[in-house]
Amino acid sequence: MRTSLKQDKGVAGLTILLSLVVMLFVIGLLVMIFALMGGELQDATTDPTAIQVINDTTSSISSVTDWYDIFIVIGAMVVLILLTVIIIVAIRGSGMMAGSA
Amino acid sequence: METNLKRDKGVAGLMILLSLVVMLFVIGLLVMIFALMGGEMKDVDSIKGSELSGTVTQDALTFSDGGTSLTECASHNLGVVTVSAVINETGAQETVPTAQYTTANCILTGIAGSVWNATAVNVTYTYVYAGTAYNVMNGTIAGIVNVTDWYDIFIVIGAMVVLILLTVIIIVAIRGSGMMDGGVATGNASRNYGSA
Repeated sequence: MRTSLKQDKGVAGLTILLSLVVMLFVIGLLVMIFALMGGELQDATTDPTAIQVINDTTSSISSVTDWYDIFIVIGAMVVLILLTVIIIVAIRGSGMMAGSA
Repeated sequence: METNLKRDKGVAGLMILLSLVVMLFVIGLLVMIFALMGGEMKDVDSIKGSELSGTVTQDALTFSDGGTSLTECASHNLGVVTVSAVINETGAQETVPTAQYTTANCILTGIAGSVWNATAVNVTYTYVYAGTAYNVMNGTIAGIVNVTDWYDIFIVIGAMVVLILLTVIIIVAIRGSGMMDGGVATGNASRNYGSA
């Protein structure tokens, strides 16, 4: 099987950050819809157990957005690491360092 | 697999900076669009006021034309009250006429110079407030807009790459010129340093 690898240069993993931002927004949108649905379901039933279950479900999935900041930080770190790798490769490729290939 | 590598000379990694700037702009544009979309979504009345409270009575509040906070309502996001009764707590416990006050969000405000000013009252009301769906969209927007906080450091590091490659080109050029002891025009000088 022939493998086609993308060989983009200079992107330094920024597409990862782009994908991350889009993905987080889509997840947030879905969670908001689930929260709205959960609220309506709670209002539609009188059974305390059912209300408790749907309340717990809604509360749990809503806490997803608490992690968004750390996802962004980690995504940014990945980009920074890849940028740093570009720098290191550039320095090593220059032959300025002893033992560089 | 045959690999076709570009070997442009003298570019000094400027393509990296160009790609970086373009990509940052595209990400910024997307984040802006998401922030606008999210803002519109959370501003929909059915989401801002998705939760309805039960009937609440708060006692011993001081009626004032400067405004009195209805704290039960104010403890929630974007609360909006509908007052059903304001009753004088002392004496004959008269009902304060609705013409004597107005409400805005979670604030009960007496009309200017009202005779009920400084009177202790019991206020009965219901209120709507922003629930989980609003908080989720708020958190989503707050999370993704943080991306732009990293732009400065991306630009600085991208610029460092270009500067390093420029420095390498300069050093190689000086060494290759023979002006320095031990400088040779072969070896490292024959490499392509501007194609990173």
